[in-house]
Amino acid sequence: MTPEELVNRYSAMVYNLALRLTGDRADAEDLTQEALLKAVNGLPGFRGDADPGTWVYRITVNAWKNLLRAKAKWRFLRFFSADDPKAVDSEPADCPEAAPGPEALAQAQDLRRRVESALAELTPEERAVLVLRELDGRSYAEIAESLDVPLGTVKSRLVRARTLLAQKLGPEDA
Amino acid sequence: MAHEFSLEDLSAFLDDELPAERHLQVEAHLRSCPACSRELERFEKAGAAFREHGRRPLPAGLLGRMLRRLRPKSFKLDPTLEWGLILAVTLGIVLAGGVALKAYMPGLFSQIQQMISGAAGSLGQSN
Repeated sequence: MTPEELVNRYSAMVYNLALRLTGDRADAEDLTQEALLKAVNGLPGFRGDADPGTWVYRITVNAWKNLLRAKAKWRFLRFFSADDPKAVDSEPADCPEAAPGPEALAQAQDLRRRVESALAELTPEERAVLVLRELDGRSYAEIAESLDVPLGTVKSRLVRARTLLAQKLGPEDA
Repeated sequence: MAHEFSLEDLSAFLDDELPAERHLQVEAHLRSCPACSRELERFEKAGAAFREHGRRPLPAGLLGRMLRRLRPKSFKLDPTLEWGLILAVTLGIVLAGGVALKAYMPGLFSQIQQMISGAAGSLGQSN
């Protein structure tokens, strides 16, 4: 795999993973670039028989952990900070999408608001499991390897994420 | 009816992540348990909603910026150094031309010398 192929193939998923981990568009862009450039630099040593996706996602998660550590250090140095991790906005800026009609648009917006509301109550790690499973169709074993957690943790995080999503979507679907 | 399967089982069933025997057991249970079937349906809807509304497109320009960073940078000299080099090469060519002229065409070289001294002399007289 060439560096260009790697970037073309994984940039969208790495960005979605980074966005759900950081909850911030600017941080997600930085994290995406950092993770993919690290992957490109590590490409010569990458084993061909391993799955590149799992490897790239693991690099992304590790880069995110480093970012968190760096931010924690910075907060410690400043003694106080407005960057409360719980206040991180998990709703990224709106992106233009085709709208078939006002009613359909309103429904889609409502659904989207509910999804974002559920995501805001999840931990970054739970959101990461959801992204890798639902958006990239990764197996539990691959997710466990990417996030460096046991298989049981993947299962329980996914159940919590789905339960919360189902609750938020529930009343109007019932 | 007793629910012998957990939410984790239902979630894993949905993702086809259960061992074959367990998968069949859950499948059989779902046929006779409306409550578990509803729960499974809720999970399915939750996943579908996230797939439809949770994905975000790559910000415009990000892919291009990353691909540009991968391209090897073309060799570019500092402008001052570039002009210095041009001057040095030009001077070198002029000097080499002068040396070659003196060595291979001494007559022409002395004629040019005389012309220059003549011109300088006439300039001195006129002043």
